[in-house]
Amino acid sequence: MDIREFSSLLAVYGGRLDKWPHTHRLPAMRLLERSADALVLLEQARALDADLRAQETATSPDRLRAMEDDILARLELEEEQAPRPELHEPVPPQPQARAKPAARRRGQAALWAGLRPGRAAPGPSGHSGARFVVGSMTGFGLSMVLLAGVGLWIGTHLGHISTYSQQQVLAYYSIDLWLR
Amino acid sequence: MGADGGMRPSAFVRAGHGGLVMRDNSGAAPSSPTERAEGIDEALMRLVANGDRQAFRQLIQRHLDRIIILARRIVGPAESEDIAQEVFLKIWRQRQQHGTEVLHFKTWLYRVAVNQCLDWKRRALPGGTEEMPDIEDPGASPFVEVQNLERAELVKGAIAQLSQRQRIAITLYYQEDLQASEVAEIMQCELNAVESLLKRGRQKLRENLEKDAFL
Repeated sequence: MDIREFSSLLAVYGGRLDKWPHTHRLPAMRLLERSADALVLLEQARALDADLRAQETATSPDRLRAMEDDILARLELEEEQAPRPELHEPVPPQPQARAKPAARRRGQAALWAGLRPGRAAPGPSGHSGARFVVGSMTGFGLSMVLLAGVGLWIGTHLGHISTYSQQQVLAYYSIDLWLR
Repeated sequence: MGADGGMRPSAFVRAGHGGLVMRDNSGAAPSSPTERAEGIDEALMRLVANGDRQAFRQLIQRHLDRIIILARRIVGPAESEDIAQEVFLKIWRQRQQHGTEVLHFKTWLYRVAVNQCLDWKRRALPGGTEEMPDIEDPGASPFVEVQNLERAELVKGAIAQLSQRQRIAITLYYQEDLQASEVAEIMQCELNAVESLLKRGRQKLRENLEKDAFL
């Protein structure tokens, strides 16, 4: 540690080495052993420390005792004045109110309104474009599902249809033969 | 509770006069007066957390004077006693919280005291901030003739001219003889911020007092 670093630490921590950071105490003591300038700086710092530690006028014991009593009296007053939790009779649980039919119908109408293309109610801001698109796409999707269902039905029953057609052809041929 | 689930005896027993005294066989004794004092405070605070008013009175007796002096340094003599009373009332109201804090009781007490002083200053000075310059007390001004003042009054006047945060840091470090790390905990700031406050505070005090010497 050099004299400059020692002076910087004195400026922060004062002249009591026991209040310095641990790592700086021993180097400071070694510097003091060999440097008269460091000793002078230390004495100046300690003089200022003594000024700063000058004791304030203590409060009289009677006044302190009176303040203790005041504090405890205020505690008691606060606890007496603290609101006590009121006891209520238990309220029986109310059955949950069911949604009114009109409200339910309105809700359902709103639900379906969004699904019908071209018939979406305008929103609060008056924009119905997005609702129309969603409704149209939903309708288209449902149509595709319906067509797929019809196709599936035809496919599963195609055998019967073709058999029926073949039977008809045979029936006509038989009739034709009979007529001949 | 001990490791075997049994109750450990308290370090304190109630004496005939109603006060608390340390039990003789309370285990390993703390090595230094500071550690013994901290041990007493922590034990008293545990009793206070259970609503023991006698223990609370002992805590007040141990620390009230220091808190009044601290408040006097920060806000001035007029409000120091009222603020000190509010500090202890707050300690009582928050007594359950101390058990969850990792701070020593003294550090917690000083933090509550500093915050109470700062709250009072904010209420007293409309639109004020921590850095608002304090009103100089002409009775303690270092600019009054040196011959008519005691050295302590000069120093008091010089301290009153510091910024609020410098004054708090200087008071806690020198008057209350705390370590810089404890000051940082109380002021809820970084250690290097406290070091800066101490350095600038000392520098300003030295300048003011040296100016005095030439008057």
